[in-house]
Amino acid sequence: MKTFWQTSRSRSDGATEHGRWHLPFSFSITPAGWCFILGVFLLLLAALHTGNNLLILLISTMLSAVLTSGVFARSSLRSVLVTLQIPENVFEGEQVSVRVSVQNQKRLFPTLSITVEDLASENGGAVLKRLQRLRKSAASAGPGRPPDRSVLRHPAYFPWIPPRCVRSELVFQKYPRRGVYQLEGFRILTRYPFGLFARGERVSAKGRVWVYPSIHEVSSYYHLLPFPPGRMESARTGHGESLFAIRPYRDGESARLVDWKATAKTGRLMSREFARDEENTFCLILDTTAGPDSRPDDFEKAVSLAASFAWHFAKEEAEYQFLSPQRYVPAGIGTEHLYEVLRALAVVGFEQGTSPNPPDLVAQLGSILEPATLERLMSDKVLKIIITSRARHSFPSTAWQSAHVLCREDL
Amino acid sequence: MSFERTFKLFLYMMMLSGLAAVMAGGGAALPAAVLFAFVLIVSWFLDTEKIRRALPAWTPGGLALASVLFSLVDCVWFSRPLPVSLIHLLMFLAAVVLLTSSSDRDCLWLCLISFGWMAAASVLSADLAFALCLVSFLFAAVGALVLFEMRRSCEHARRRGRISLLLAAHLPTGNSGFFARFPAGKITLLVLGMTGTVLLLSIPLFLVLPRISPGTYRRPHGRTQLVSGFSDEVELGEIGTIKESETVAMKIRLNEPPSKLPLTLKWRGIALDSYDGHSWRRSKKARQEIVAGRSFFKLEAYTRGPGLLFQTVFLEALSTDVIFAANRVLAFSSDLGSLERDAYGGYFTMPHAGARIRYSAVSDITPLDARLIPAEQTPYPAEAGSVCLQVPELDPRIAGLAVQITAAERHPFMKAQALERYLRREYRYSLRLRGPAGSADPLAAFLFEFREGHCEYFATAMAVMLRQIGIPSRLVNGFRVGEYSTLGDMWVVRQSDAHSWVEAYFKPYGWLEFDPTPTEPRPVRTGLARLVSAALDALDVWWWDGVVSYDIWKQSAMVGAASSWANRQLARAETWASAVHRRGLAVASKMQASPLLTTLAGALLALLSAAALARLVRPRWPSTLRRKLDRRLHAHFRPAIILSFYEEALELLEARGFQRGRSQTPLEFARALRDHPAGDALMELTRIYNRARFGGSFTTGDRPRAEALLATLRALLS
Repeated sequence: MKTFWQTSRSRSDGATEHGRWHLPFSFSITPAGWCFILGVFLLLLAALHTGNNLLILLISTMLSAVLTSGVFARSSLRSVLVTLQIPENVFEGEQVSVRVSVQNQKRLFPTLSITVEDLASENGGAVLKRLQRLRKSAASAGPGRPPDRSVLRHPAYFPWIPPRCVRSELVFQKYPRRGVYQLEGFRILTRYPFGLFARGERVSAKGRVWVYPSIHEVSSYYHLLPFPPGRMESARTGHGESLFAIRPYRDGESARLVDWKATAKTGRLMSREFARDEENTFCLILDTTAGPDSRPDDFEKAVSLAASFAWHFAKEEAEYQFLSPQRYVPAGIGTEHLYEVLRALAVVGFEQGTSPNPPDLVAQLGSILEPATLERLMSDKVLKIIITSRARHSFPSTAWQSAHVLCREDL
Repeated sequence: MSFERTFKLFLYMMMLSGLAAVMAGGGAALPAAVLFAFVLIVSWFLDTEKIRRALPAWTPGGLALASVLFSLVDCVWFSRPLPVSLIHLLMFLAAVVLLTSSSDRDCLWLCLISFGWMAAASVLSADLAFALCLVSFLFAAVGALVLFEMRRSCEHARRRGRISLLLAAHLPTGNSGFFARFPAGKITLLVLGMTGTVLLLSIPLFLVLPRISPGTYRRPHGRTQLVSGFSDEVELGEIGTIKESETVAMKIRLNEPPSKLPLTLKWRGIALDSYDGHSWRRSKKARQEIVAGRSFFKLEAYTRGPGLLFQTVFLEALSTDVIFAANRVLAFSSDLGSLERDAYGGYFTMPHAGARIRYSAVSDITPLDARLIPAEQTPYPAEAGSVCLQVPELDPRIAGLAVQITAAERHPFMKAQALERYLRREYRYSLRLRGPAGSADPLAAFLFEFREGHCEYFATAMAVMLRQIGIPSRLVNGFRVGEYSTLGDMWVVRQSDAHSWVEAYFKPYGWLEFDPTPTEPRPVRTGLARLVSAALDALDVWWWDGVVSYDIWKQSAMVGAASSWANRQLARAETWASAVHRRGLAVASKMQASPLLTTLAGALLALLSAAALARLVRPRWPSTLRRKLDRRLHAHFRPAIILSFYEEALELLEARGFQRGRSQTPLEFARALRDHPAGDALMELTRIYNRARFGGSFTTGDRPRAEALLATLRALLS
């Protein structure tokens, strides 16, 4: 589990969000609060008109309740420490359980009825704020609309935290899109005690969650691909680890190569010969450029497929490398390597092209690789799997000669 | 108690408080209230959600419509006032909601209805009962709203994606779902504290809210007290009927302590001049309207002496328009609204049968000097003329008795005193009248047969006998001074204090009071009953004077008092400052004589100022300084230095809310914070600390490294 701590009480250093200044606290009037204010106003008119002191007394208690509400809400919000625990590895669309904990550090007073939500969250808020958000979202609806990048996707509610106690809540949530989710802080909200006003405080917290592309079981169709389990071996002798053959000992060979068991059986010196291991034998290439008919959804499928292949390779303990026009991950094996590839896939972007002739993939790869490395990768010795969101007919035919290409139709 | 039960309890208490307030104001019929209370009790035990599901969807709406129609019928056919009909309508609606409530909205309706009752009660009544109901309502409303908010917020969070809570893993069915064990006691305590805060804060708000209008509605209704003896015609013995009641008629605050008051102090009501043998009446019924001044009705142009008595009277809702004050009244406050005076010195205001009134009066109670009364009193002025000397056809023995009693005196005033003394001495006080009510001559029966009666008989006897010896007299009805309450510093006057006495005319004073009634045997209240009664009376007067009667004049007086208090404090501060200045000058002049003392004092002052400034700018400097000294002193003992660094790191973390648990080792604590931005620095510092303290290994690079790590921690945690 990864834990994110609240780092400072409030963003009183004048931090900005989306280029706008924000106060360290927020205050809004709930619909019930507006009704209450209207009621006070009407009663006040009646009281002033009639001079009835008992009505004025009622109004005084109502106004006093407003003041008291502010005092108690402030008391409830102060001296609380929020922490968030989230699994280390999170995949797109997969349900994860997030543990939100709030520690009440006050000595005497409890904390009541608080809701913790992500600062980047679009949930919550009073009616006016909701209307504003609705208007903004209507204005920004469409492909250009920024996705919700909040780490805590749903609010967590804490009804009662006794003094000097910690209460935790599990929030089950899904991250709809891969990528990096940045935690800027939390918003602690309360409508306590009377539900008339919503008061919130911002607290800072730093953290980053990598949401990897979704992983699917690789279809049996793809098993037809020449996926050798383990490191690919050559039919030539070399200094690898796999035994190639046992043959008679030649003069000058190292004594360590002598197979004593075979020597004893045959009665003459026999030595072991090893197969030569191939280097850079396997490469997963993701094409991020789009053809004129490419769609973002297809690209996401391509990314997901690439992640699934990487997962499959890791499971099979195969050594492979990953390459895209934006990132190169050298060959490796094991979990660490897998997560490095997945992190690369989490942030890989779709390059929407307008030209009918998309740029050459090899030329793009050359922008991030040394020429020698690129040449070696493009040689026949390396088995390449190219995953692209382009249509089959729009992908350059030269690529087909040296790689297995999975086009939009195969996704 | 579960969350739902506690919430329901607060909600029901809120409704009951509202209902009680309405009942106290007479705004609801008793059967309706009993019926509603029954519904309330039944609904506590019922599963109202099930009822709502079983009923057709239109039922609550239909019943509400029916209740509106019934309310119209109630208003028109049963001739109820509109507010009462509306209250009944609300009761019916509340009953429907109570029996079919299934959602948060229903709870909200019930809250609104009970608040409506409180608002209605504020118009209907001004009794202390309203205050008690308000406090109870406030407590219940605060509790209900707090729990209602928690319930709604929880539902809101659930709707927005929350699936489960760790705390509520194994909840019994029927529980609201967010408390494994609801802390009802603690919540109730919290609600109590919150109610107290609301009440405390509402006091200044009540005082400062502007009273910009004289108000078309200034006197809420109260229960009317029927009092006899204060009308144009009073049957002999009539006043005795109200003397059996212990109901409070008025409360009076005076500017003088009881010890300085005259023993004969009474609250004068009306005077009656014409006696026909059975009843007293006023022969002149005309009243003269008094024009109000700025804040007083001025009644007299001069005083007889320095004995002025300021009275603040809280008069209950009486069935008479007579107002009471000590004789001789110089002025009444203009908050009476209107004032009339009759020919006999009686004062009247607008009828207030349904409302209490509060007014102030100033009376001249300077004792008279009998030596100034001349022996020759005739001729009498018109006001003491023929009617006050008229005697109906009575038993001739009465005249004989009058002459016999006064035979020894020459001076008319002495004669009057002799009659007063005689009646007090020779007759007994009794409220149990043995003579028939329709007796031919009740006065003769009192004087010669039964020889006992109450004040009205004594006063009548003296008035008649005074007239028979040629002194103008009249009967006055009013109240005795009452019972003094030390708790409220006021006089509580009950109906049993109603009293009759005599006024006789003597030049140059005019009408002088005589009270021939012997001491009245009164049951004396003691112990707890007296204490409770006094407390309630004091509370009632505070409520009446401080809340119900609070007006723009009191508000301006309060502002004036506050202003003068501030001025006094300012003046006191100025005096203090000038004293300090003088003392300083004296010290300075002494110090000038000694340069060493001056230098020392200057240095001390500078040091203290610097320390205070440093404390203000860097509040932690004393501990920082101590630590630095510590590090310097223990430079040779290296583990101690590292310990000091680690302690500072712990302090920094504790200030941010990360406290090391008692069971945690330093390494465990560092591991617990490994994901924190400052986690790496802490871990390294912990390792150095562990090595130095427990491993005995300390390299030369450890100290600068520890310092650097501490600086990093400080930067990350600031």
